Amino acid sequence: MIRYLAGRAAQSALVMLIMSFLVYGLIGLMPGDPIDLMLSADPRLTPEDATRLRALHGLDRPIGERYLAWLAAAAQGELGYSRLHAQPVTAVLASHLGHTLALLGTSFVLAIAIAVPLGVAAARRPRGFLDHTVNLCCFAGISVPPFWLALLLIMAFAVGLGWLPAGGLRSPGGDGGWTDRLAHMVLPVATLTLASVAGYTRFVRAAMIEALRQDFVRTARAKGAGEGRVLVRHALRAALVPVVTIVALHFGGLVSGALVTETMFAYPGMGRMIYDAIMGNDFNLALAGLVLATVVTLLANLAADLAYAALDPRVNLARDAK
Amino acid sequence: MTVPPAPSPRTLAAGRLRANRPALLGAAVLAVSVSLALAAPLIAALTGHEVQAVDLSNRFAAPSGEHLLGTDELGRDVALRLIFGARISLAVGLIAALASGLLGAALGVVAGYYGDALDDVLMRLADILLALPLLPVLIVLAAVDAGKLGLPEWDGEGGDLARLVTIIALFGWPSVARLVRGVTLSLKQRDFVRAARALGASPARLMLRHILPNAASPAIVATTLLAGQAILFESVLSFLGLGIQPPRASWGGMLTGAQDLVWSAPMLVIYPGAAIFASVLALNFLGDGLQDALDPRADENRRRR
Repeated sequence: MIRYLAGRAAQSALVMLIMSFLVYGLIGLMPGDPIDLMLSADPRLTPEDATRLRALHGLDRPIGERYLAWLAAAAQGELGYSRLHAQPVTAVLASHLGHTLALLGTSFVLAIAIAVPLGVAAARRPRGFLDHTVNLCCFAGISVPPFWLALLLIMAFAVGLGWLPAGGLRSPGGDGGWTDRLAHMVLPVATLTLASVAGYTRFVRAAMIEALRQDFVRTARAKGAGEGRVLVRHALRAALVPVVTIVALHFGGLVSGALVTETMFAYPGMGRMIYDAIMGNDFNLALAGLVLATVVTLLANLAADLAYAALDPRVNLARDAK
Repeated sequence: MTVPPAPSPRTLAAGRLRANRPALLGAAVLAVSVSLALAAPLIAALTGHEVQAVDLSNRFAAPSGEHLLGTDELGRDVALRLIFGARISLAVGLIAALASGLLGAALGVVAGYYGDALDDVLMRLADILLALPLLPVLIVLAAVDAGKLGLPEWDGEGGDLARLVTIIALFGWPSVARLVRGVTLSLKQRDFVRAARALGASPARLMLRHILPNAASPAIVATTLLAGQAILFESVLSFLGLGIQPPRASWGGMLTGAQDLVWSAPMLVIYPGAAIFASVLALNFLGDGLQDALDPRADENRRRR
């Protein structure tokens, strides 16, 4: 078990290094560089100045060397300065991370709380009326563009009914109380929940149909266990193993969803911050934000693998790790 | 007395597909949108409007015989822009899905056939690509300056389209590759493949003639579902201003202009989004129907229930 853990963690660390290098290279390929921005801001700078500045900041060195320098600094928590926010990148990340965690966490819990009962209920009678209805809703859910869903919700609840604010974190000039804060969360959370719940329900349904076919379910029924007990204690428990894995593997999708949702609702979280940083040539911030998002996603994958091993007694880690 | 020949697997699959109403509906919606998209220049000529013709004296016109769905914030015909937008979305969706389907099938069969280190590397790569937070990465890729890589600049007509198709296809192949690899792993142990190898068939011939045709069903299903994904990604990238560049009409781009008009012209938000929704839904229905139809165990499963 320890050997498996260590091997898996080492593999993840290697993948994270490779990914951070790729992201570093990609950011370097974006149009312009920091010196171009200085040139456009100050017409007195000559091309000679630009060459001198590039040398000063090490921008003329090979990419491998620059990446290693960035990595060494990043390992010490030094991520540079954000151009758009005029703050250290670490401070910008810290101030946005909490908002994203609140949004992602609430939506995720809600989506799971809806998906599990719906998936279980649909799987009880495949091709029955309830299954067809749930299935149809799931198809709608996975086919709707999330940014359009956000626009529809804004039109219905902010413009049409006027019940909820259309975006932001709190009302301008409001008292800043928690009800105001909550009201601003409703539509973003609803968007992200609706965008992910359909996929999760499909996973739960498929896993439950598979589990209900197994012999141990027939055995449980034969020995007289009640329907609720068979569903929850026997079938759902077995179905949760693949569901946990696949949901964790879809963490990247949740991050993508957060980017869209936050951008649509002017919600100051990591997703919108990354988007603004990319669009605003804030190289340091875009780099740190993207690497952070990738690392968190890969950690979720690692957690999925470990959860799979921990939940399924049939997985023998000592053997698999050989 | 003659015995009627047993129906071929293909006939059976076609029958199952015809019995699947959502899949049929999906196919019909796609057929109509593709026809409209192909006929777009003709329709423009018939109505006498131009897709990019700005008419500031006629902004936000209500639907009429002249403008079936009214006009937008620049007085352009909304219906015509939707039809031209279909050209973009369907082209990106279908070409990107086809490209990633072919790439995925090729990489999947090679990984499964040769196994070992090559398999490990390809499948780890697939795992990583499947897990990435795709949208931020696509946004960076869409913003990347190809000139810095020494690649030709994709400018002018069709350049943004080619760029979109390329970056979406680069990330679409893993799902197909995994399926094809799985089928390849089991097929290469089967007697007919061993027999062909014993007869001296080359690896290329084994993969192309003996393995891939048998892996076609899951690959086709996955590719159909990928097309829907590709349309969603195209629309969100165009919406964020990184895909198809205005003034060319695309569904995502139409929504960019419309999002500031939710208070005054809500229908401009409804139409393009509904078009994206309908075509992605149609592809998902069709993919699901194909999956049921092409799975030989489908009948048996249904009977067992």
